[in-house]
Amino acid sequence: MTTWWQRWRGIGGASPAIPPLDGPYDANNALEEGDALLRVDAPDNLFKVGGQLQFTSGTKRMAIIGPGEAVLVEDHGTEITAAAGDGGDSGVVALSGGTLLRVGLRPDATSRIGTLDGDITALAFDREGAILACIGSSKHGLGAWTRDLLEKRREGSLWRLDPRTAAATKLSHGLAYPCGVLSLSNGSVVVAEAWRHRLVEVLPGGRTKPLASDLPGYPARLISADGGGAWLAVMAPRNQLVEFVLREDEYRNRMLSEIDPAHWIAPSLTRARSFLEPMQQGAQRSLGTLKPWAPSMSIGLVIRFSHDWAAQYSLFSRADGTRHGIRSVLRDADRLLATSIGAGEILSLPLSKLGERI
Amino acid sequence: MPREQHDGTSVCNASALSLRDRLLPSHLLGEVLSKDWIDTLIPTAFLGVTAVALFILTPGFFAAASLSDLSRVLGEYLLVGMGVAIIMIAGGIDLSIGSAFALCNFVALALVFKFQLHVALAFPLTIAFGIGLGAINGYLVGYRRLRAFLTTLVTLVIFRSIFDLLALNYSATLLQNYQVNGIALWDFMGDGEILGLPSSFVAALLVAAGCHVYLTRLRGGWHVQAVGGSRRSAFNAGINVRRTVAATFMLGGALTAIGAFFFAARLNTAGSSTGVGMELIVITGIVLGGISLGGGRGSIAKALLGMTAVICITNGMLRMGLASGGSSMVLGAVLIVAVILDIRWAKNRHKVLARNYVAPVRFVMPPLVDSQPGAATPYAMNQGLAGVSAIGLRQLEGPEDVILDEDDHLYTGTRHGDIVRFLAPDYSRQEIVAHIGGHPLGMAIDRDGSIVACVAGMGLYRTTRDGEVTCLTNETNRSRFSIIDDSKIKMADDLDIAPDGRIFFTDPSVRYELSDWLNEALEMRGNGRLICFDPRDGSTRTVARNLIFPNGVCMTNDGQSLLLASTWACRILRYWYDGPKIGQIEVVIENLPGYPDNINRASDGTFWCALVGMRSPAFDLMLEMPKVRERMIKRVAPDNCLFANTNSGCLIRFDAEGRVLQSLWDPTGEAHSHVTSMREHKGRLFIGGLRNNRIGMIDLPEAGQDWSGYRSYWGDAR
Repeated sequence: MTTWWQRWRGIGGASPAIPPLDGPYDANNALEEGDALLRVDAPDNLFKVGGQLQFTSGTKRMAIIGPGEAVLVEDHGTEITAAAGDGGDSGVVALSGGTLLRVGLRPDATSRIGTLDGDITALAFDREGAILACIGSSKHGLGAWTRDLLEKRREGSLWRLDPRTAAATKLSHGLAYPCGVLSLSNGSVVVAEAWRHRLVEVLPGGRTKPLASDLPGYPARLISADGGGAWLAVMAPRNQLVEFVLREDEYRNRMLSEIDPAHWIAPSLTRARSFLEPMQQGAQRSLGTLKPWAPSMSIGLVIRFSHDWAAQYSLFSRADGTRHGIRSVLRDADRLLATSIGAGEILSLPLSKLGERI
Repeated sequence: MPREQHDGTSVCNASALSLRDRLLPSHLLGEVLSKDWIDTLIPTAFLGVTAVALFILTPGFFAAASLSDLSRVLGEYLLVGMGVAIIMIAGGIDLSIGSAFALCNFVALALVFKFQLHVALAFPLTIAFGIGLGAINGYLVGYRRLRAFLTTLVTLVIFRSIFDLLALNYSATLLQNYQVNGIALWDFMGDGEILGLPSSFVAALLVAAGCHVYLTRLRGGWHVQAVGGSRRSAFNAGINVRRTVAATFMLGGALTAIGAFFFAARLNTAGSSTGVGMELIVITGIVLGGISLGGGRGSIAKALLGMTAVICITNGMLRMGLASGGSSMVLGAVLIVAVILDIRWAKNRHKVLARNYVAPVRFVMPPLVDSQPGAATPYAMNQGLAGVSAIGLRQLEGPEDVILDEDDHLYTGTRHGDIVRFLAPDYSRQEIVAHIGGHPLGMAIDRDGSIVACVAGMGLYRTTRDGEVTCLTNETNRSRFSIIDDSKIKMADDLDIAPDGRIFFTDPSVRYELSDWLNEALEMRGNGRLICFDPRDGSTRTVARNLIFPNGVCMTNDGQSLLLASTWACRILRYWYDGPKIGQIEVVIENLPGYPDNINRASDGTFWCALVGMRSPAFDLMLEMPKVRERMIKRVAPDNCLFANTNSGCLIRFDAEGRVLQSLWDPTGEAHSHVTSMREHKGRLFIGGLRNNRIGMIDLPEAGQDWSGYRSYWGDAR
C-alpha cells in the first residue's frame, strides 16, 4: 500500500531525488587543475609492481617511466578488466572472461593463476596475501555495465583466492555491481557496490554492513589512504533523469531493446560526443558556454574518506570539464594519481595541496 | 515525398493525436485550474451540498413560501456581508457590524417613528449614520493605523453598550406612535416584492452588481484589492493606503445601515438581541465563500455564495429545532473547516496547477534519418560551417533572427529588448536602433524599409529606420470554446510579409510563455497558430490553429502560399493564403533529423532553414509515451528533464517541392554551436541564434553575389 502510494505520487522510494553536492561533496575544479602525467587511450587500473607504476589501456599493460612517458610491458591480447599489486614484486591482472594472471615487471614473469566465471571488476590483496576479486555481474561483462545498471541487476559477487592453491571461495553474492575492493589492516573487507551507491563491509557469512551510503555517484575502485581512511574513484554521477528512467519500466525496457547503447539515458565515462546522446534541459549551451553545474551523465570525482568512513572532501571535474570517468586512483609518494577514461589522461595531483582544501 | 492534404484547422492533430488523446482533453483540467474563478468552485460545491442536505433533512425547506421568507432575511444579511467582504478584501476585518446594525436599526426606527421623518429622508440619513459609524473604525484603523481586529472589537463593545443604553431608556416609548410618514414605502421595504422576490433581496442583488463592478472594473476597487494583496506594494505604487482602508470601513458602514433599514421596516422592533452574533454568521459566510482572511483575494460572488450557504444552514437548523447553542456549534465547525480550506488552498493552489497543467499527448516520430558523416542522405554531417566568422562576439545576447537592408546594414534583436544595427561593411560597429522592451525574435523588412519584428510576450512591432516604434498588433480574435484566453499573443515568433502587405506570423503556443518552451516540446499538443495582420484595415485574425510549435515563416515565390516550420513535429508545412487552394495546409517535408526554426529565401529560388536542435533516439521514444513525460515533468527538476539537443544544429536548403538540397554543419559546435535563423545577402549567409552570443557570417561562393532579400520581396521599389 505504501509503495503503491509512493509510486503514484513519486515520493519516497519512487522519488528520483539524488544527494546534493554539498558538504564533503562541495564541487570544485581540483581534477581539472591537476597535471596530466600522461595522455593515453582509456587508461585504467593503476597499480604498483616492484616500485614501478603500471596501468592498463585496453588489452595492454603499460608502465610509466617518467612524466609523459610510458612503455608497453605486455599486450595480453584480451581486454584487461582489473589489476592490483601485492605491495612487493608481483601483481595480479584479470582479463575479460575471468582469467587471472600473476604478473611482474617483465612479460616473462607472467603466469596463469586460475579462472573465475565472469568479468572481474576489481582486485586487491588481503593481509594474508590472498587475492580478493569482485565479479561485477554474472550476466554482463564490463563493457555492458550500463545495461547491467538499467536492468537493475544485483548479481555481483566477491571471491577470495588462496595464494598457494588458487582455490576460490565465494565470500558474498547478490551484490549490486561491486566495482572496488579494499582489505583493511584489521582484516575486514570493504566493497564498493556501484548500483547501490555505497561502500559496504563484507562480514563473515556473506552479509554486508553499510559503511558509507547515498554517495552522489557510482563508486568504483578504492584504495587506502595515509593515516587511515580511503580514496574512492567515482566513475559516473547519479543523475535525476537516470534515477527517473530506472523507475520507468516500460520506457526503460523499450530503450534497452530499441536504441543503440551509446544513446541510452545512462551514466557515461565520457562527455557527450554526439547529438544523438540524450541531453537535459539544463545542459543547453547559453551564450556559448556550458554551465559547470549543468546536469551531466558523466563527471570526474574522487572522494576522500576518513578512517570512520565519513566523506571528508572530494575532487571534481564538472560538466564543463573533460576529465571524466575516473575509475582508478593510486597513491604514489606525495601525489595521487588518477585515470580519466573520458579525457584519456593519467592525472597527477600533489597530496599536500589537496590537504589544503579541508 | 509523402504529401497529405488537410484542412487548415487540424493539420497536425489529425495525424498526430491518438484517439485517446482526442477523446480525453486532458489539458482542460490544468486550464480550468489556472482560471481565477476556480476559487469560486469550492463555495459553489459547498452550497450545493448544503442544499441537498437541507432538502433531505428538512421537508418543506424548498417550498415557495419558505424560500421567500428565507430570501427576505438573506437579503439583509447579504447587504451586511458584502460590506464586510470588501473590508476583508482590503485586508481588514470588522467585528462591530452586529452592534452597528443594532444602532442603525434603532436610529432608523427613531427617525421614522419618533421624529416622524419621511421614510425617503430617513433612509439616506440612516445610511449617513452608518457611514459615520464606519468612519470611526475607518479613522482608527486607516489613519491611526490601529489593528482592525482589536479596534473593531472595542467598537463592538462601545456600540453595543450605547445601543443597550438607548434601548433601555427609549425602546418602550419609541414605537408608541405607529404612524409613518411614507407608509407605502416603509411597508414595501418591509414585505414588498418585485417579480416575486422580496424587496431586500432585490436591493441586495442590485448592490451586489454595483459592488462587483466597483471591485473589478473601477479604480477604487482595484486599489482595495491592491491594498489587501500587499499594503507595502500598494503604498509604493502610489496608492493612498490609509484613505482606501478608511473608505472600505465607511462603505461597510453604509451597507450595514441599508441592511438595518430593511430589518427595521420588516420587524419594527428594537429588541436588545438585535444583531447579536451577526458578526459570527457573516464572517463564517464570507470565509466559507473563499475570501481570504489575509486580504487581497476574494470577490462579491464568493461572498454571496458563502453567505447564502451559511444562512441556509442556520435557517435549516432553526427548523430542525436545534437548540441555539447547537446551532452556533455547527456554525463554528463550518467556520473552522472553511478557514483550514482557505489556508490550504491559498498555499497549495499553484502546486496543484503546476502539477496538472502540462498534459502531454502521444506523438510517433518516423524513424530517424541517418546524418552521420558519409551517410547517403542530404543531411550527412560536413564541415560546411567551419569557416564561419563571428560578428559582435560577446557583445550580443540572443540574436534570434538577423536581417539586412539594401545598404547592407545588419539588424538583429537582443534579449535586452533592443533592435541593434551593425554597420556595413565590416560590421564591427553597432548602434541601437530602438528599445522595444521584449526580446525581438523573427524579423522582416517591409516595402518602406522598416523592420517588422515579432517580440516575445508582446506581439508584432514595427520599427522605422529612424527608430520609431509602433505596435502593430498584440491580440487576435479569441476562439469560441477555449477555456484559457487565447486572444493575447503570447510568444510571437516569426513573420513574413505577403506581396499585398498582409503580415503572417506565428504564435507557437497559447498555453506557455517563451521561457517554458520545454513544456511545449514535452507536451506535443498542437497549441500554436498562424495569425494574419492586415495593415489595410488593422485587423488581426487567426488563420490556422492546432499547429505543433509553428515557428519560421517564409513566403514562397508564387505569391499565394507560405512555408511554415513546425518545430517539435520536425516538419515543414505550406499554407495557402490566396489562390485556388486558399486555407489549405500541406506537409512539404516530413521527418527532418532536427527541429526546424526560421525559414528564409535563398538566392536561387530555394529556401534556407535552420535546425535549432537535433533529434535524439531517447527523446523520440519518450514522445510515444505521454504518461512518462507527464511523470517526468512532475518529478524531475526542469533542468534535469530530457530535452531536444539544442547544442548542435545545422542549416539546410530545400526547394518548394520539399527536396532537401544541402546541409551545412558544425558537428563539434566549436565554430557556431547554436542556430535559429540565417539570412542570405549578396553572396554571404548571416546566422543568428536565440541563445548565442554572436552572429555568424559565412561566404557562399556559389550563390547570387548581388542578390538581396529586400529586392527579392519588393523589387527595386525604393
